Amino acid sequence: MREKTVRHMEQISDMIHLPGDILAGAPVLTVIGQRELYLENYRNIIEYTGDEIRIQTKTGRIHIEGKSLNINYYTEDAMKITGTIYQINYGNPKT
Amino acid sequence: MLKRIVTWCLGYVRVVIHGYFPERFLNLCSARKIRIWNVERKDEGYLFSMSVQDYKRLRPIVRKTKTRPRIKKRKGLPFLIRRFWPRVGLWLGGLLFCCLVYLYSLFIWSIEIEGQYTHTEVALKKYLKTIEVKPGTRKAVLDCTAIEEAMRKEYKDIGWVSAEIKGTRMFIRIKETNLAKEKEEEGAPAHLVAPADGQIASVIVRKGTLTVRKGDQVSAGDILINGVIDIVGDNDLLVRKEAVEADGDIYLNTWFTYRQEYPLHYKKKEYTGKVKKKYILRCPGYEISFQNPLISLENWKHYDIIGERSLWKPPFEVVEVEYREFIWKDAIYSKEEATKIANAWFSAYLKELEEKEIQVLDNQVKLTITAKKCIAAGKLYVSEPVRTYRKIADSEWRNIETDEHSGDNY
Repeated sequence: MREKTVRHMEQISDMIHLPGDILAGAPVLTVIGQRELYLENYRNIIEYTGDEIRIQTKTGRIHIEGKSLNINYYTEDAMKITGTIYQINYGNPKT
Repeated sequence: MLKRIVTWCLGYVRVVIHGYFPERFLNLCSARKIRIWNVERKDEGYLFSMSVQDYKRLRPIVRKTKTRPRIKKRKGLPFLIRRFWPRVGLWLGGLLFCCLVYLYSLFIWSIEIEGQYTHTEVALKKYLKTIEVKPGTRKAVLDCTAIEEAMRKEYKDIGWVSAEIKGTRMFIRIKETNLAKEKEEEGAPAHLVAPADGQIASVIVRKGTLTVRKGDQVSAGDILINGVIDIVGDNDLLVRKEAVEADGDIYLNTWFTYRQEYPLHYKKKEYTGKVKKKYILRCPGYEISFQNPLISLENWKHYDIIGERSLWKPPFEVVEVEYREFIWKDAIYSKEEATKIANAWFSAYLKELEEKEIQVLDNQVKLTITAKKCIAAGKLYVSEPVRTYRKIADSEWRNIETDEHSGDNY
């Protein structure tokens, strides 16, 4: 993106009260209760077992722990996880 | 939901993979736009769903990630069809079903009529039957325009008809027009004339020239108020004539003859005591009836049908229908009964007169009962308002020659 458009986008996201780094490709997590999780802006799955899922995003890793976690669907940039979620951790961005 | 139905129709497979890098397999799939859903971790490996076409594209990914896919379950319409393929009866049944639906859709199965007011639905349907429009007629034979035209021709008071076939139903919408009676133009020049012989009781004139006075004897057809007015100038010279609609209240005292006779013998209804009951359970569009099949109405010559409707649990209602057999029996009115009936008839007649603003002054009606008949006859002296008009012809007042030369301009 050109500098001018980036500036424009930031202005727009300010106006609609969104953190600016969304435009930089930060992951968006929507958690509903303890059983559903929507994750946008991810890059790939690093590890997936029934009890944990590690996901690489553009800004770092996300580590989800739980029980009988299923991936309902995943597309190039969004996924839905169901199951019982215990923890959501953010890993060190450098690792 | 729609997406799920489409997926099911196209068919999909549940695949189990196991191997060294299952996560890499998943990432590669998303990178190559292979849609995978419902990923589950099981002891035997990773279980997920994917479409049949995508399964064929897995080969390079499988080789790269050193995993081994195995189809666990096949789901969806294509697999279902393959499973049921050997069942000939099922397919024939389905085909027969489609054929029958198509075949039956070639006919109309009900006729609905809307908008009738003076004609009953039954009568209209009966007529339609005579022109071969009835449930069970092939749609291809029906010509809506012809039906419309035929109905308009048959019923003169139907001004607009629309026949339409919707599915297997025929809708007929009609608009009845009450053809206006030819009414005399209001305000047209007219005389007020006497409807019958009599004596003038009172006069009030609003428009026209009065030709009678109170107390005058007139005979039927006499002009009471003349519609032609003479316009007279200052020097008592007739300037011109003008025709108007005569208007005024004139009461005429006149004699009416009343005669009413009827036989004393009559047929009396007598119930035989045989009763049949029928119960109908009804909800909009459907009804089911219960009755005793042992009592047949066929041998009954005459019977009354009395229905009583009661709401059960809306929209259900129960109708109790009772059939009562009766026979006609010869009977003779007694003197009192005959008098009573005659009085009832006469008072109804008086009421009719009252509605027409006719006042009865003298009543000379007498009742005579002979062996076979009861006769009420006599004369009534009444005062009735005159409302009989006679149109004025042009020749009665207009002199064409003078019209042309009238005026002072010459």
